[in-house]
Amino acid sequence: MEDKQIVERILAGETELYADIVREYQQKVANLTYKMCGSRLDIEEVSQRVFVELYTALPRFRFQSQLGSFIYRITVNVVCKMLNKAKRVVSADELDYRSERPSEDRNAEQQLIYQERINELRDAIGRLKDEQRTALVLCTFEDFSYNDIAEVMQCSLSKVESLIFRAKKNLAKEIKQ
Amino acid sequence: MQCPVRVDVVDSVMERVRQKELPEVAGSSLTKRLFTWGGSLAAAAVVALLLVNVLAVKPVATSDQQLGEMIASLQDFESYGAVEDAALEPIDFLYGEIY
Repeated sequence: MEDKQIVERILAGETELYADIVREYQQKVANLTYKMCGSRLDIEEVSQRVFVELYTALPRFRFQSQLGSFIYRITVNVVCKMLNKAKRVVSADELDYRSERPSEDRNAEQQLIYQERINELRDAIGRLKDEQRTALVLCTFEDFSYNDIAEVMQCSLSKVESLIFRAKKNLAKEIKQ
Repeated sequence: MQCPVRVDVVDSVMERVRQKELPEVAGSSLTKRLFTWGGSLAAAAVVALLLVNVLAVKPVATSDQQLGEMIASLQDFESYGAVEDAALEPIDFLYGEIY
């Protein structure tokens, strides 16, 4: 059954069907949360909040975008709210961006240098402003187009471009210091 | 790079959801009626305003040259154009960009 049909049936009173939506999207929500804030927040707690908020917001959803984008939007908002509440910067240890590049083409020394630089980059990503980090994570790790990111972050395309540009510029600046 | 934890919040979410009443879709019959009436009034007001403006507008005498300039300026305006989709970049490629 398509998302639209499920939502229509839920709104018509078949609320138990909501479990299907939760089942379909819960891991995606967890993945995005993890990429945005690592182990900084309780991923299950975030996921629960997202789906409870989604349930409340369902009647307002008009399918002008994909349900998945809507869910991602709620996820981004919930994560940012919870991070702000905790008032802490995401530390590098909490962001587990592992390098996926095979190391066969590097010798031991090169691998060490490479790993150090990856760690530096990780640190710097953690220090980015929330908006910039969100846009960068969605672009770099979630395979989102700029249009998708604009939809999730509820901002213009030019703002997305600007956020990603500034994120990369800030990363480069941080690393050079 | 995926979350290392397999999340299963179906039961906990459904428990909370069962306690909530789903907010009504675009209102009850009363709200619907209010929306319908309100919407009709607003539409009528807009139409009236448009009619007043249309009837009150006097045609502006525009020379061929002015028209030509207007058309040229419209043609000069470049649309924003599609933005390239961001390529999938795991941190290694981001590393390549930054370094």
